[in-house]
Amino acid sequence: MKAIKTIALFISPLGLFLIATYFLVLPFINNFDIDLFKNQNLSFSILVSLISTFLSIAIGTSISFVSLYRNKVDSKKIFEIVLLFPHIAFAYLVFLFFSDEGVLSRLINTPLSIINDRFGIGITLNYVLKEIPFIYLILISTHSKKIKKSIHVAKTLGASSVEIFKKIYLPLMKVPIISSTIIIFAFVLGNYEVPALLGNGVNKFTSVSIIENFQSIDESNNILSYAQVFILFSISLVFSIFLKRRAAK
Amino acid sequence: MKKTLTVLYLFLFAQLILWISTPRLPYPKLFSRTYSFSEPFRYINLTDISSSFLVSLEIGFLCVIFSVLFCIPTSLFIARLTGKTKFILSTLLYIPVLAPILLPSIGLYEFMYEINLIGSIYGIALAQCCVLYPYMLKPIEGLLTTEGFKSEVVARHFGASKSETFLKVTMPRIMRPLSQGAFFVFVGSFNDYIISFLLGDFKIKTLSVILYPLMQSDNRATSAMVIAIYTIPLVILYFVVTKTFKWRTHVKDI
Repeated sequence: MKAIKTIALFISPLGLFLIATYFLVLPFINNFDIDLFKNQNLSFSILVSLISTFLSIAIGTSISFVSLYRNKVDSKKIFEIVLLFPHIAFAYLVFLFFSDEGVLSRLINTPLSIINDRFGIGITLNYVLKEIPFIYLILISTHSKKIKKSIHVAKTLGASSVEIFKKIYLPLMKVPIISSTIIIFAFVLGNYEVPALLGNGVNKFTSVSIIENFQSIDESNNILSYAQVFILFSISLVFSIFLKRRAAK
Repeated sequence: MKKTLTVLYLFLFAQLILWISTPRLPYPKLFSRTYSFSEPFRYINLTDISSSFLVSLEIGFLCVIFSVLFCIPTSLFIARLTGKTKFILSTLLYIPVLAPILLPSIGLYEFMYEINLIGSIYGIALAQCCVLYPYMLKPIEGLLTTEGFKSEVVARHFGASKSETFLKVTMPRIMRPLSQGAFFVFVGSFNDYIISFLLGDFKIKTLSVILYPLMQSDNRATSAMVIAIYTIPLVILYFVVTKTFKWRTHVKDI
């Protein structure tokens, strides 16, 4: 069994990354310019990822609760289509609609500056709009008869919708909500194409600078890209452990 | 809220028609005097697009085949495990979901480089499979863990061979999660940009790899047209597959 565990570790993507790091980074580690680390802006990526994740979770969970509360789970086809849309294509739709020469700017006759801005509003907006259907569809597919019955009983006993949401829906749906939060956070933190398209050159997303460093001909930048990937993975891991522990309490 | 979002999504999709039909739309005009659907085709090389589409399809199907070959035996193995061993193996196997996509992408790039699979559709499909297999493994493993292996035990008790039990009892049971997983793996592979870009090494051009420079060129009509070409087959495939396998995403009556 120990052999199986070892094989599983080495064929997992983490194992492959560690092997690549061992053979390609460690021999050149002495050439690494440590000052490169100081210029990194990780906090922007983490902040945008956290805001995008929590906004999509909050809105997606509320919509799925309202659907269940009102016993209406119809008209989800459009959400399914959004879920199917490639991130790169959806990001371009957001760009076409919300950019300074986009449809919305033309409709309200005022140029908007929410795309390619330095606060990451465009990136956040894209992720929120793209991930709400994911949360909604995950949650409605895990609604069990137990939750329906509990809500029905609470309604009969005169509980308000807010009380039902807080005391019945959230505790019973804790596991899928937390799993979705972890998946979305890890995805947003590591996604490249959306921040590259909707982001700004001043506040660069870490994933964008990773690809730039990885493709650079400078050895120090290559090593930095490996370190950055490992930092992103560690952040996702700490975040998921933290959430799972909170959920277990 | 849901209605507002639905309207916003409809607006987002509908604007494609506006951008495709009006290649030159000076700000702040919203409507043009002339409309033409032929303009974007002047800048699109249809041969390139169709060959990229076929490459994307080929990689998607290969990725599904690799995932099926990996996920069926692995899920049968994990579903039988209990305790700490199951926990450790599951954690390792589900790392691709937890890790940012750049971690497996960079690790796999170096691995594929060593085995000379950079710039090959097999390399890209294999790399995508390494990232996407959890979407197939999880539903199959979930079903097997929940339902157990009682049917298989009964089949074996009545004299069925191991292969007969697998083909006539296990396979029909796992067909629905397998089809769902296969669909998600296919869509994930079809939509992937970063692995195709890194491992394709400019030799293999999938649709996403072609689409990205077009979007950065600010040729809105052409990009809108490519997005339509990119997504319409996925939507059609989705409706065909959901109708065929009768998937349920509504409230469970268990």
